[in-house]
Amino acid sequence: MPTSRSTGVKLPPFQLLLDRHSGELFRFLAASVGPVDAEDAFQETFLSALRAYPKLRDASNLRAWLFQIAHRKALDVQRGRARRPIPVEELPEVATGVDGGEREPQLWRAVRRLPDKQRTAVFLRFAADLDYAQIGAALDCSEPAARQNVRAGLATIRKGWAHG
Amino acid sequence: MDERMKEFARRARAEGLVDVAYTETDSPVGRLLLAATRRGLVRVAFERDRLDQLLEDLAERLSPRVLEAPAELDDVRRELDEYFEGRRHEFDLPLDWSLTTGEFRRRILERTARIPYGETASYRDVATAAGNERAVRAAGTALGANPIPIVVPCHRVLRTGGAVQPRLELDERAGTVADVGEQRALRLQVLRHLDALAHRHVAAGSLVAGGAVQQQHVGVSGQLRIRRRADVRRVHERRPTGKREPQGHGTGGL
Repeated sequence: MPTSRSTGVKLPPFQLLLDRHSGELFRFLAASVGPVDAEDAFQETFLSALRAYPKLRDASNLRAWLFQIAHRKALDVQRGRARRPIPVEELPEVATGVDGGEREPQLWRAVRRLPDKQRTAVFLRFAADLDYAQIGAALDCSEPAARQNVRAGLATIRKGWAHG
Repeated sequence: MDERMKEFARRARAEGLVDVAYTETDSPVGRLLLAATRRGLVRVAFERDRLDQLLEDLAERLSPRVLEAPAELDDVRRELDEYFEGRRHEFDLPLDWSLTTGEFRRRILERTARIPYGETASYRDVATAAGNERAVRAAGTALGANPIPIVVPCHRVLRTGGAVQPRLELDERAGTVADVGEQRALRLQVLRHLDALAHRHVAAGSLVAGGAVQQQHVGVSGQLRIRRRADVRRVHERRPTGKREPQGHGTGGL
């Protein structure tokens, strides 16, 4: 077997990660980049995870690890869009309408307009129910910084909400 | 599996990222887990031994890159279906022995894999064929830990002087037995019957009353004796299949 289990960490079968987390990761990606681009970002997320999996040194927070990868893939998609001469900002209403999972489209639109880090932090806190330490792990920042990003994101959403 | 998962399995395979592919399938002996590596079939398991536990075991012993990928096991499923329908008497599948530790244990299982359809051997037979006729107990341990049952037909190995129980009695008992070890023993018995029944043994002999009858392993066109009860045996005549190994084989050629 061409595998390297030298890390000594007991990792669950990868299929278990898929079964447990594919739904919420797809929702996270759909909320970040819209449901159309989310399909490819989803595949890329789990392929990257599967590639790196056997060498993972810490199995204590696989969920945050997956969100971290998904967050990066979402950023990739957004960077790709920025290079494309399409006025993406005008489109999300159409695209997100496809996602039947969104019960409050206006709220999610407000979430989507947040800066990357705040948006992800807010999503991880309230949609994925991660605690601040886990969000910090997913975003490569400290726990206080994760808390600050959530707080700032919420403030921005409330402001937009108040202004209609 | 939904489309998103199928697509993922397809892309993961295309990139060579699946170390252990598995699927589940139904069979006359219950639901089965089938798992394969790039080398070949590595595990067949009765799902009574909980799926989660089986997958965890594969992740720990082989690689954590364990993925549900039914397409990787199409050949295995097809051959098993043919076997259970009585249309296949030999498996033509590459095997991966990674889950068998120890050279002697592996030899035991390799010899067992060569016992032809419809025939049986004793623990002593396989121990002898594996090079140590006195290692009967070790042979039993190796067979008990067979990671690839059905395909490696440990059900064709009987305790010396052991008997194949009547099917009816098995069916009656199977519904009531809760013990895992006992269940396993019953499944092996059912497999023995599948082997024998699908083969359409012609009952050429008669029921012979007798005392201590030695279990016998008989050559290609010879007769197969299966002890039906402790004191009764039926002599069957095997129909030659014409596609066996060229030589008849005694225990040494198992």
